[in-house]
Amino acid sequence: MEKIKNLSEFEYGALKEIGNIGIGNSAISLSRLVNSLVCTRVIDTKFGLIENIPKIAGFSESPVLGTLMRIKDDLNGYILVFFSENSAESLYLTLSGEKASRDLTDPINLSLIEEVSHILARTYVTSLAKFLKLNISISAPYVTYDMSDSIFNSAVTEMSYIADFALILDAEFLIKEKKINGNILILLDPESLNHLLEKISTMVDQNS
Amino acid sequence: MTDSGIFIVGIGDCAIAKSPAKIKTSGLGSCLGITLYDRQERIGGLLHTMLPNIEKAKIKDNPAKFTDAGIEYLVNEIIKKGGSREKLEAKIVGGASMFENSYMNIGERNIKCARETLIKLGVSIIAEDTGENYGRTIILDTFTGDLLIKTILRGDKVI
Repeated sequence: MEKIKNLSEFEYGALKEIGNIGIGNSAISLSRLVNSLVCTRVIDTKFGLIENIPKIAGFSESPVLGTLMRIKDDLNGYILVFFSENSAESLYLTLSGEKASRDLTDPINLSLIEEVSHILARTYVTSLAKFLKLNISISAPYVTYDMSDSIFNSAVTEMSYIADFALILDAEFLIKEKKINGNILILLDPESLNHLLEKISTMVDQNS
Repeated sequence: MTDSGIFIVGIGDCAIAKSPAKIKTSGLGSCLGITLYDRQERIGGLLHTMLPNIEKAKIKDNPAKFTDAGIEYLVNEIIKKGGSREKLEAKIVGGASMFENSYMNIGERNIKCARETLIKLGVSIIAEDTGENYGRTIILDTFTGDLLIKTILRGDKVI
């Protein structure tokens, strides 16, 4: 049986900082895409029983466009990018230059959101890989338009096949002037968490 | 329980309630929602499971996480609270495959496992709304036994 791990405040702080690096870099990508200022915030970092993870994330039945990608190689888990309906519409208008918004389920709209989400996720993961000197890659994206908790629960369920516990890193970004906001969530298995913590402690040792 | 008499069931969780309370679980993706209802006693139960079988799991503390163990647990609990096995009516909802790039088919395996377990326990399945590729939210009304299914693009229905 796996041991239940209690993370120290220092470890949570370090993980939160890693989340900050990831979302910060994603925000730079996004601000270049839409040419506006992007604000970011790390909402939550928790390690817990996998069935408790959805409670931590606290999603609702409200519809979103969610894109799911797998994280592979040195770290193992999932990365999800969520845009609310209004944000997706606004993002579509900004990037396509069209005046009237399309149906959110239109394939052109969906693939645009999918591609933007992929760029954000890839920047996030690449910045972590660089910072921690890890080899991390992500799978092809797949977007779906549905209730946010259904999308998130499905990712958590897939994860529960390989792990009883999971680490969640929840961060959000916001573009005030264009009314675009969204979340980037990372789910990692306990082995990846150990890997991360090891890397962090070697970095701390080197600096002290 | 909230003021309006609705019990909320999270993922890997279950609840039993008597009329006129309602039991709700939201965000069924590849997860499965199973409801049991005894029309005579007006008692109902709702279960939100993640994985099909408990057998291979390392941690077996929470039966409601697994379809087979969860159904067994809920059937036993509902009988303890006054329901009878012969009168129980089961409904199965969910088990969708939300992502095309998912290779594990958890949804389908959950559905199959639920059917097999219910048949094994001698509980009759009276309705199903399973599979496809969209999420569902369900609300069981223990007064009527109706199960309301809410979706984003496909509207609401009652089974």
